[in-house]
This record gives sequence, structure tokens and C-alpha cells, in this order.
Amino acid sequence: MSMNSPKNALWHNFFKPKDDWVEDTANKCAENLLFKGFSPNVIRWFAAKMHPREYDAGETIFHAGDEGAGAVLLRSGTIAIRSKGVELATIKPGDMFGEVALVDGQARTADAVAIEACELVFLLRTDLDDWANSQPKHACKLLKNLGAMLAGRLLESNKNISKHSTEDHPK
Amino acid sequence: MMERRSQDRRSGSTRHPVIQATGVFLAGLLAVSCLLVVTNPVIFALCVSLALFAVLSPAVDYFRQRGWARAKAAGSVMGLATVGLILVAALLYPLLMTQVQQISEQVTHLDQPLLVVLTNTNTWLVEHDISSINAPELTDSILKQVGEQSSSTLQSMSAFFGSIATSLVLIPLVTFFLLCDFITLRNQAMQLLPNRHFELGWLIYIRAASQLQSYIRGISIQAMIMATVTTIGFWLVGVDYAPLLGIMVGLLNMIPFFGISLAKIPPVVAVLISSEPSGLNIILALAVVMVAQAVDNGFVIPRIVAKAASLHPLTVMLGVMLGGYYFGFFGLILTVPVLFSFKVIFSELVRGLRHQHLNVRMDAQRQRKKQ
Repeated sequence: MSMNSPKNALWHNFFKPKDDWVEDTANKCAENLLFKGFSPNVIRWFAAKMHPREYDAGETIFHAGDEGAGAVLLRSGTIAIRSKGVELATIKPGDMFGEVALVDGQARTADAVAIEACELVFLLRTDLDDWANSQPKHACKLLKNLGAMLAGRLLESNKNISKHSTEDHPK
Repeated sequence: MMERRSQDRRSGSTRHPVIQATGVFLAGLLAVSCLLVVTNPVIFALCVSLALFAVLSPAVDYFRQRGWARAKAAGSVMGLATVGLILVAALLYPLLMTQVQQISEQVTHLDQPLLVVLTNTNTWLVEHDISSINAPELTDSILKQVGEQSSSTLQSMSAFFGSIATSLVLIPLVTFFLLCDFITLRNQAMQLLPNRHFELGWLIYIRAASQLQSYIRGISIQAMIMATVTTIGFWLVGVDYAPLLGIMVGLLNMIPFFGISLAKIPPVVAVLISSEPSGLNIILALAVVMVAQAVDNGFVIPRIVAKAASLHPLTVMLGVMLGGYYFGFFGLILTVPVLFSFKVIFSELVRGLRHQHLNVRMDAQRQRKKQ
């Protein structure tokens, strides 16, 4: 398709999917560390490959111990991350969680439950594999960002652990 | 208590995971069967297109890695594959048709050469005090058995090639659209999954699809290697109709278990209907098939096919027999991929649902403790 073709042409819109969620997802992805350094066109193209889902309040997105198929980006609503009934974090729109599953089929480490009705998109490992096959340079950049993201989380966890251990055993 | 029951009912966990998995699996099977009945007139074209898609998609990925658009990559790969097939068909078709006609004419006079070979063999056995055979009776028996086997195989194969000929327009078209839009179609279909099974559905799909794709690619490469090795072998030992026999052996070898035996019939028949049939030529023809099968067993199967199909031999044997009985030549070839896809889907369903069942029970326990 030519880039100069009029967007209101009948043949252009005939099979065009509803893309309101794509725009919203692309905007939220652009603010996320995972997509740092990507042009808006690439982000929009990749957002269109994601999988939108809607969850009711109280519905579980995944359980701890489930094998993860990919990461989740929250578009609207609120999600609680819980472990053994204890709330660990609250996910707000624009946040991404469960991204460890993008690396391999590791089990989920906590439960994710919708506190209120929410809209989210799944970024699956298989999409990333397809992308790595077709656009290895972009996929490589995304994996670097993912590495930085996971390293950040690890540092944060280490800080929390050392803070708690200092509180428990003061010098 | 009521709340717990309603929560359990909502998550569908009151049933045992194996029963639940069986229910989901049977419902899926019923849906697929209905789809097969509806698409029956084009099912052959769809199956061949899916097989071509599995074989050609790595080539499309290769071009996409070089920055080509999907439609351009798919079109180029389809164009190259079509030109290749036309060239091969143009080179082989006249040769194969001539050979098929010659074989059909000569098969009607098979009794005399076979009687001569068996009479000579009997004379040699008697001269060396080994044993003796009743040549005319054995000739009748062999001809009867070979006739039954070859007529059913030829009927199935002619139906197979007939279906290919009638689907010549549809197959490239469907393959092209699959190469272009398969991912979009797949994603739309997966959107139909309920929320609680969304990730599980994807994980099952990824495992089943990757195994199926590698198996189809594996047996296609296996058939091509077998056809090439046996064609060269037959040509070297001087067996007539080498290309035709090579292709037949390659196709028959795709049939698990029975293919190894069936593949030995065409070269023996070709030697018997030749101008100089002899025991030595039969042994040489059989030796070519056996060497090719040794290469297949020692090199091709362990590296290409075996990783995909991890099924018990008895399951494969019974499955292939039933597949052949109900669906002919197609049933013989498709039984193994269908069986191992079922195995992957069912075992992953049981594993995933068992885990979900456990999680729901733990959630309910926590709720009770809170109360």
C-alpha cells in the first residue's frame, strides 16, 4: 500500500480493525522503559500486534505459579499484585507487569487481581519471537531495554531486602 | 459456603481437572469435526496449503529479516516456489508419464518373468540340495498379493495426484494469504478464548504449533532425501524407471511403520517387468531401498523427524492402520502429526487446568481463613 494513499478510501477501511486501543496502547508504550528509543511508528506497529483483553473487578489476571505467556500493559483500571494474600503493589494505567515471562516460560511469582474493571493488553513471548525473526535489530533493542528493566527491579528488591535486614538487625 | 460454591462455579473448577480437560478437548474436537465437514470440498487444498505454509514460512522470515514487507516477501517466496515446481514438473512430467504407461503395459505380462525367476531359483535350490519351491503356485500367490497391494496403493496415489491437479488454483492462493495474514487470523481466533484460559490457550498453541511445524518440515525433507538417494541408487544399479521409483519410495516412506515394507514393492515389480529379470537385480533393487532406509534411520530421522513425534510405537501402529482404513493415503500420512498434536493439547490442558484448580482451592482456603 502506498504511504500517500488517502486514508478515507473505501478499500483502506474495508478490513481495517478497530484501532482505538492501538493508539492508546502505543501512547502508553511510548512512556514505558521497555520501548525507550523506538520511533512512534515502530511502537504503533508493534502495539497493533498486541492482544487486548477486558477484565471485571475481582477477576484474576494470573495466579502465582502459572506459566506466563507474556507481559501485561494496563490501559485502564487498577490491578493488585498479591502474594499469599498480602498486597505487594498496585498497578496503575501505563504500568507494565509480568515481563519476566518475556524472557522464558518462568512461573508467575505473584497473583494479579483486577481491583476494578480494567482494560489491558498482553505482549506475548511469541510476538517477540516473531519480531526477532522479522526485525532482529528492533527486537535486540527491546531485549536490551527489557534487561535494563529487570536489572532495575532486581536492584530495587536488593535495596528493600538490605533495608529490612538493617531494620531487623541494627548495628 | 454459598459464596465459595459460586466462586468455584464461576471459575469452572468444581470438576476434576482431567474431566474438565477431557470436556474441553472433546468440545474442541467436535468443533474441528464440524469445521472439517463444512470445509470438506476444499479440505485437501487447505491441508496442502498449510503444509506449504509450514515449509515456506522460514523463507518468508528470511526475507523479512532483510527489511522486506510481508506481502512482498510472501509473494517472492511463492513466486520462486511456483517457478521451481513448474520447472521440476516440466522436466519430470513427460518422463514420468511415459514410464507409468510402460509399467501399465508391462505389468499385464508380469506372470511369465516371475515364473522364469522362480523356476531358475528352484533349479538352483534343488541343485545345491537346500530346498525346493512350487514355482507356479508361488507365482500365483505373489501376483495375487502384489496385485491387491499395488492396485490399492496406485488408486490412493492417483486420487492424491488428482486432488492436487484440481486444487492447482486454490492451493497457491490460500498459501499466499496464509503467508501474508496467518498471524492476524491466528490472533483474532485466539481472542475468542475466555480470560481465565487466555495464557494457557496461547501456551498450548505455541507448543503444538512448533512441534507440528517441525514435523511437517521434517517429513517433507525426509521424503525428498529418500527420493533423491533411491533415484541415484536405482540409476547406478541399472534399474529401469529410476525417477518414478524414487518418487514412489520417497512418498511411501512417509507412511510410518508400513511404509518401509510398502516401499520395497515398486522396485521389485520394476525389475520383474524389465527385459532381463533376475534374482541378482531384485537383490540390488532391494539393497538400494535398504541402504536409503539405513541412511534415513541413521541420519535423517534422529536429526529431523524424531524430535517432533514422541509417541508410543503401538499408538502409532494402531493409529496408522485406522487412519489408512478410514481416510486412505492421507490417513496414513496425517495420522502421526494429528496424534501427537492431540497428545500435546490434551496433556497441556490437563497440566494447566490442574494448576488453575489448585489455585482456586488455595484462594478459597485463604478466603475462609479471612472469614
